[in-house]
Amino acid sequence: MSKAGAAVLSGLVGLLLVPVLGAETPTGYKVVVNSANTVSTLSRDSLSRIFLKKTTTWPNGQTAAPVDQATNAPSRRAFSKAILGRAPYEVAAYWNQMIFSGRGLPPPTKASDSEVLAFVRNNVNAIGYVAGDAKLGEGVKVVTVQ
Amino acid sequence: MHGFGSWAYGKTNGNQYLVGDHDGLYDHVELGLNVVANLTERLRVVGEAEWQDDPEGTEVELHYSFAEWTFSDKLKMRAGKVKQPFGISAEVFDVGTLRPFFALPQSVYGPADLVGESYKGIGFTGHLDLKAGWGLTYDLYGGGQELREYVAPEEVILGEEVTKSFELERTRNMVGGRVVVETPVVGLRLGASAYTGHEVGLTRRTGVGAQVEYLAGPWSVRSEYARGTVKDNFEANGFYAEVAYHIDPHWQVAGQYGRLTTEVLQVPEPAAPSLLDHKEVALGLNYWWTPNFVFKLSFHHVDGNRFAGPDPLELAQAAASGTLKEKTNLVLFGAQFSF
Repeated sequence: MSKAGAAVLSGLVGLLLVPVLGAETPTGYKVVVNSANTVSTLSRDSLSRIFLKKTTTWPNGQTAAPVDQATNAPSRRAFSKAILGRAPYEVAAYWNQMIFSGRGLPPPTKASDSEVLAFVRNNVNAIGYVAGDAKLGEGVKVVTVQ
Repeated sequence: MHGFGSWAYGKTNGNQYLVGDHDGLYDHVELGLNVVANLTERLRVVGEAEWQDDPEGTEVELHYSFAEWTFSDKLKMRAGKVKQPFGISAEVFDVGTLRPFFALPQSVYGPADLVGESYKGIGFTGHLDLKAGWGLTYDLYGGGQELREYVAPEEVILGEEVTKSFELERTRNMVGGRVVVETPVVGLRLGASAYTGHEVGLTRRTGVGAQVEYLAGPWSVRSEYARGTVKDNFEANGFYAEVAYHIDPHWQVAGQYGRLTTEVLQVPEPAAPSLLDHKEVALGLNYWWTPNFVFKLSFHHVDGNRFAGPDPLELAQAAASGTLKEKTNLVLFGAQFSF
């Protein structure tokens, strides 16, 4: 193989091997619901289905109201990777597919932990996530993810 | 409200194909607007319209307008003009930020009577969670359908005078459905689609398709097969395979191979068989500013004149005189966005 050919081949192999997407350090997150919600434990799969709106109700039949963080929030990147199994840009592509096929809209986005907590505090069916070290305050509790 | 749009420049080595011609075209521009209103927890209404500029002027098209009533996640009813659930991309025909190439693979989604963009009638859709990571999304619908077909090649084959490039083929009393299986492998989905109905002025029209899609991390892999038939009139078989890879969150490379064969049953041995065939290899390089804004550069090599050829009004003369160029190269540069 010529030098040029070897260089092209090694470049292509390099492309395949470099773990370039989503290379970051998770900062952690915790999942929160309203204190009145009877749910205290959720499986990762159930949580993923609620945030992708594949499941739209709680076990008691009430409509689940997921709320997201801003796309550049560290907690969103960590949550997307750990729970949804996708990078935020992949989740954005999923929602574009849902929007333009007329099948659904993404959860509303809040700009900060405090806004997410306020949304959850004021909505008994809400579910969100905040940074791992966020202080929750009254009316909100953490859900354990199994 | 959401929306999408695009602009493209295309230049070929002779024939017209997609958004390009020999001199280079800057004229392809489109904008779509999508509105959704959740009227109650169970009722929502959805509509989408698109404006498209091309060298012949501006077209306005209503993509869909329907109301959806949710009984449960497993059963939703839709009524109106609804995006046709067929294959991977029929429901998002014009949304460029959902694919690696500027246009959908022509071998399946080109104007060859295989895939419709919408149905008018009533449909049911739902999602079922199964165990161990499996899931099922299903659609069943009935009503009428319109297919936009590039008819010039078929008219030349039949020896008819070419008076227009495109024709809307209408199908009545149609029923159709699609099933998509989610697998425990994140991002891997398999599916099958079908419809059948009575084509106005002809006989039974039937379409079937199979799809596989893997979207995970930097990889996007899609492949589809579709077959369309109108009894005693025509048969078409289309296939494509497409692979795209994100080098980083911005740069993406892509490759695609597609093949479409058509048979006009009244003319089993046409004088210019290239008018019924389409074989395409495409390579692309994209720069994604965000998931909602992308620049796309691609090179397409096409063998066949099913979609690539001279001006449709000159097609018959080119075929008869033997001056039809069967091979077409296209360089396409464009921008696509959604919001």
